[in-house]
Amino acid sequence: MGTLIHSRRSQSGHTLAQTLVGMALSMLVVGAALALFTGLQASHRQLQAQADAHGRLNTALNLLRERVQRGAAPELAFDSKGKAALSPPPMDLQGSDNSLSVPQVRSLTPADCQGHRASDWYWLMDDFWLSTRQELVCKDSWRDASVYQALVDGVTALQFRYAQVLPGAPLQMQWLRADQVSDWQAVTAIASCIQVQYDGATLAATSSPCTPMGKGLAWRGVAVMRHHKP
Amino acid sequence: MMHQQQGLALPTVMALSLMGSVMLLAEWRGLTLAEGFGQNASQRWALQQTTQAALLRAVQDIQGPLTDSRHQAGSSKATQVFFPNSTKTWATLQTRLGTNDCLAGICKPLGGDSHSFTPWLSRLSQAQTQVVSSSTSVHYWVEVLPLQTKWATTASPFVYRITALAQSQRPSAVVGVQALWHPTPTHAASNAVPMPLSGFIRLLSLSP
Repeated sequence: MGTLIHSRRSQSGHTLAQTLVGMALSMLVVGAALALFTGLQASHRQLQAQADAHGRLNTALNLLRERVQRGAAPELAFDSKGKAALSPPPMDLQGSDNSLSVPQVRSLTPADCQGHRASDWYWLMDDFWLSTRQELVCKDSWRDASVYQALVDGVTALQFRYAQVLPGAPLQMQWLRADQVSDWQAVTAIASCIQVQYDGATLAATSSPCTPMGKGLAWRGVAVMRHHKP
Repeated sequence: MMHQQQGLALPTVMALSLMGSVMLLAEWRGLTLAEGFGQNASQRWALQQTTQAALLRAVQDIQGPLTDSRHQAGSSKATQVFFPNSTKTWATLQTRLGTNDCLAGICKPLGGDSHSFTPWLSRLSQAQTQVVSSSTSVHYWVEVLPLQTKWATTASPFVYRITALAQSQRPSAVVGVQALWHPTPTHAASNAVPMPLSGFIRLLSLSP
């Protein structure tokens, strides 16, 4: 009997008030943890989307730079006596403010801008432009029945500017819009700006192309034309 | 007397430990993969820089000094290969090369343009070679191509097609570039003016 009384006394529980306070505090802590977790998750999602957009832009700009650097490279042609001559592509670089066409010689550049084996044509023409579906697309426009392939989606603006060497000495260059370029053979560099929109980020409606006011990304790069007609 | 253990503490702890271990392993694998990608990219960049430096070294090799055996045909009994300065000495070079494509990094014309570096891997013993580090070496070859009359200049009757290949053993990697160089009055063959990469008529990376 004495043992039973002692056992019941040792199992003294909490009062209702203590339990309620404990529960409220626990809920507060759990709620705060949940809120923190949700915030972190949203932040992680946004960072992930931003990193993805960076990755896509990086790939697209690297491809643009690589194709422009290879562009217009002259081929070596040999006559019957084995003497060499330089044979550049017969067409020049062409472009507008949001499209670009870069000629390539197939013997030097065996794949088109999509990575496919080049056609049987002697030349390739890399066409880059912003499609109506807001994608930066490209294809070899000399290949029959070819289709444009998207390199980057969610592109809200694409802009090209051209560095033309001005006549006369000393050597001077000027960045120009496509309609201001007077001699495409004198273009030595191309500046590109690609502006993208990604999940969770919006651009202000009033922002002008390639000057983002919101959370969008705008990447700029300059690709040097290594090759000119000799 | 011991009571029978009926709790779930041990299985719970074990399950949590297992889950934690799996997550740790997955994270470690992702990090290792990312590190591998990073190392590959940095190695590729370093090899590219090495090949471009080799191109410029090849230009310096062509440029001089013009009095050494690499730039003089020597006597009629001499056998060394050299950079010719006229179409007459170019013919002498072809005779000395014989059936070899190249010797000591100087080559006869090897045909039309190619975008592949694979054929050059079989000519490593005929290249000018420099060991960059214990695991990296760089090789270059210079083809001396006579130009058609309308392209030849007073600075040189030749255009030089220079191929450079950098190789790394650990991990195994190869990067190849090819350039065309024609001496101009500002970078004449007899003038040891340091040249930037923009001085090449053509500069392209090669694929396997």
